[in-house]
Parts: sequence; C-alpha cells; structure tokens
Amino acid sequence: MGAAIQVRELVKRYRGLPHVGRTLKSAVIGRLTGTYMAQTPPSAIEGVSFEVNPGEAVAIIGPNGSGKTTLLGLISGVLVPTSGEVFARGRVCVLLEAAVAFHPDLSGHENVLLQGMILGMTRREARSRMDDIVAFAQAEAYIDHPVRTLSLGQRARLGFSVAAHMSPDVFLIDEVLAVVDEEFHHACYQRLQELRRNGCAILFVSHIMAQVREVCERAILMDGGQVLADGPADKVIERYERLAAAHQLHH
Amino acid sequence: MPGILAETWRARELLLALTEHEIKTRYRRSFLGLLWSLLTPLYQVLVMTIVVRLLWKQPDPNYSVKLLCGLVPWAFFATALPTSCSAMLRARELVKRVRIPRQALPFSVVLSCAFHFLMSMAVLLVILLLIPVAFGPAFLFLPVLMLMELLMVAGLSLVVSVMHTFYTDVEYIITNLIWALYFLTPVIWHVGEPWVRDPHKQYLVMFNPMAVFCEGFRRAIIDKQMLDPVHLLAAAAVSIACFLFGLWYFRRHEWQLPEVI
Repeated sequence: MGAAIQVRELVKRYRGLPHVGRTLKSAVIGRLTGTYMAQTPPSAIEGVSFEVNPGEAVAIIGPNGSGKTTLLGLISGVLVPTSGEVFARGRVCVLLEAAVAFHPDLSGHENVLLQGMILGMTRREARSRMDDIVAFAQAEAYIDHPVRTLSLGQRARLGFSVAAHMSPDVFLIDEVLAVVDEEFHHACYQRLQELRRNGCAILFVSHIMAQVREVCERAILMDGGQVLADGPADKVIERYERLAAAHQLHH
Repeated sequence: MPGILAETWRARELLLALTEHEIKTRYRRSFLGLLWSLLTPLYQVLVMTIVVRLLWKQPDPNYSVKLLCGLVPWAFFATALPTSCSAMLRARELVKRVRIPRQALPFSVVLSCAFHFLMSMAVLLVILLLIPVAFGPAFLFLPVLMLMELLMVAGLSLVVSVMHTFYTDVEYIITNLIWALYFLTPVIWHVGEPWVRDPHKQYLVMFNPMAVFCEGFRRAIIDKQMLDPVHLLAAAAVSIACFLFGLWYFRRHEWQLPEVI
C-alpha cells in the first residue's frame, strides 16, 4: 500500500497578480509622492518533500506565515503548485471553520446537508448519515433551529461532525478545534483515532501544543516555507519552542 | 472545454443544492417572501403604465401587457448578471478552502434567477388567461427563447464573477451598462412604435440579443408571430458564443481565484 499523501520538491510561489488590489487612488498618490506600496504576497512554499502513510496523524507546526495553510491548500487541490508534485489518495476532506459554510438563517439540518454536499457527499449519502452526524454532535435539541441561534461551540461541533462522517482517506484540519468544550474534544480525538484505524491519514495544523501531542506522534516544523524538522512530535515541538524563544529574543 | 461541462454535470447535485440555498435565502426574514418575485414585475408595470399612458400619451390600450411580456425576460437578465458578479466573493471561504467546482457558484445564482423567471412567467400566463389572449402554436417558441437567454447569461456570469473578484469595479460597470441597454432594448417601448417605424432602424435594433428575447416574447404572445430568422440566428450565435467564451475564460483564470480572493 502506497502513501496517502506524497509531497515531492513542492514549490509554490505567488507570482503576485500585480494588477489585483491596485487602485487608481494608490496609483496616483504613488506617482505623486514617488512611493509605491507593493503588496506583500502570502507566504509561499519552497521545496517541501514528505510522505504520510495511511493511518498516520501528522502535525504541522510553525510560526504564523510559515506556509502551513498554503501547504494544506496545495494538498487539498485548491491551489495549483508552481513546481513539484503533490498527491493525495482517495477522498480528501477539509475541516472547515464552523462559521464558513453555515448560513445563519437556515436551520442546522439544512446547513448540515449543504455542507456535506460541499465536502463531496451526494445528497443521498448526506441524508442517510444525517442521524449519525446529529447524534455525534449531540445536536438533537437544536438541529431544526436557525444556525444563528447556535453558539460558536455548537456550530463547531456540527462542522466537525459533518466532516468526520465523510469517511475521508485524507483529513486536513486547520486550527479549528479551539472553541469546543472539553467533553467534545475528547469525542473528537476518539473519532480521529477511529478514522485512523480505518486507514485515514490526518494532517493537523495547530498552535496548541497540548492538542498536537494528544493527536499526533509525528510533527513537521515549518518556517519560511521550508521544512525545518520532521520526526517524533515531542522532539519537533521542543525544537519549535527553542525557535520561538529565539524569535522572541530577536525582537 | 468539455472538461468543465462534465465537471459541472458530475456536481449537479451540489449545483441544485446551492441554487435551493440561493432561493431560500433571497427573501429570508421577509414576510411576503416569494411573493416579492411576483409583485415586483406587476408593480413595475403599474408604474410604467401610469408614466407612459398619462405623461407620454401612449394611445395603445394593450400597452401594459406588451410591457409585461418584455419585462419578464429583461428582469432575468438584469438581476442575474449583477448578482452573479459577487458570487465568488460571497463564498470567499469556500473558494479559498475547499476544492469545489467553482463554476457552481455563479451558475447557482443564474439558476435561482431562472427560477424567479419561471415564477414571473406563471404570473404572465395567468394574466394572459384573464385578459384573455388566445394561446397559439407561437407559444412553443417561448422555451426556445428562454433557453437561449439562459445560455447567454450563464456564460456571461462566469466571466463577470471572475473579473469582479479581481476588480470590484466590474459590478458598477455592469450595472451602468445594463441601465443603458435597458433603453436600447424594446422593454418599455416596442418595435412597432411610430418612432421606430423606419424598417432600417427596426432591422438594426434587433441585432441586440436582448431585443430578440424581449420582442420575441411579445411577438409570440401577442402577435402570434416569429421574428425574422436572421435575428434569431444572430441571437443564437451570440448566446452560444457567450457561453463558450465564458467556459474558456473561466478555465483559464479559475486557478487564480483562491490566491487573490
């Protein structure tokens, strides 16, 4: 059985679409004052390679702007690489922030259906898994209420529950488990372990090291679009903390 | 080019779900809800009839019906296009984070407007029954015109939704162009009127595809006639060209969307 995620010599440079974000006003002022504020491109990826096996959970850690989210975007296929290869096998599922796909005036039920289909379920699949999704999120009491009446945590529960019932082969999580309570956290971790036993590979981006330790045995440290370290989570986290301390001294 | 159509077909369930979502949320929190898409054209007809009959002394007793016939296909065009401009920006997080067939976003706006188009067609038919106007075989021509217009608007919606993401000026430009086109298109006037009686002028006016749709509706319903086949072919050619260009343009620029949005 091959790797679930393969990333080889991956490069993503934002060529910068120079026309976007420029206004007539800034062009005129720039001409008059001789200054032109160039747009800083989002952080890029410079030659990243790694593999993730089915059933493995890997954390991606690193300071803000180190390219973590860009990397997830490339793996999910939203972004197109500049060069190199990226391959994810099977159904790739992104865990969305709770607020993203939920429309405030539609009911939880309608939103779950829509979000399931956005993530790639057919309508039939979404319908048939509805009961499981609602039960897992413990949302029976408020599933027919408009989503605007739900708390952030309740929305996050529903969001996680939809994604976790996708039976994904690759599961990408980008800093979204911060708002749910202790009890649901536990349920989430159990669900993630269950997915892993079924061969699902997990990439987990987080700044909360306790979460990272709990979910993943392996971590990848990124900085400036490159991989600084890749190995056992404890060691990589240690390295990251040294890096963060050095950064602080620097400032 | 066939790739994007096949992709859209595979995502048809999502497209329909997004369309349903558009329709449901358009009149959210409004008491009259869907009735608005029936009341708005009637209200516009009422106001325009008063203005044109009383102020401009329009003598035609059938003016209101003729106006409504032109207004129905026009309203579809004039709401679908500006609304689809912001289709990507309104779903910013989705475009940025999830790999979905992104053409489904402007297409769902167009389809939701097409749904309102059908609703106002229903109102039009009820009114025609009340007047009454005889139904003839020329009515079979209406779905053909609607399909042509749908194709044109769908293609244009792809172009404007991408361009608007780069420059939000596009929505203002589109709105202003549509305003000018409103007067160039036989909506509040029609081709038989004295000041367009010059056959040469009439001939030229009809090379605007919107003129074919609006005047085509009017002719099929009231005069039970077809348009000059030359004009029909021209409109069909423009519709197909808009659709194909839209697909090509979208495929070419789509990858930039998550980077700039």
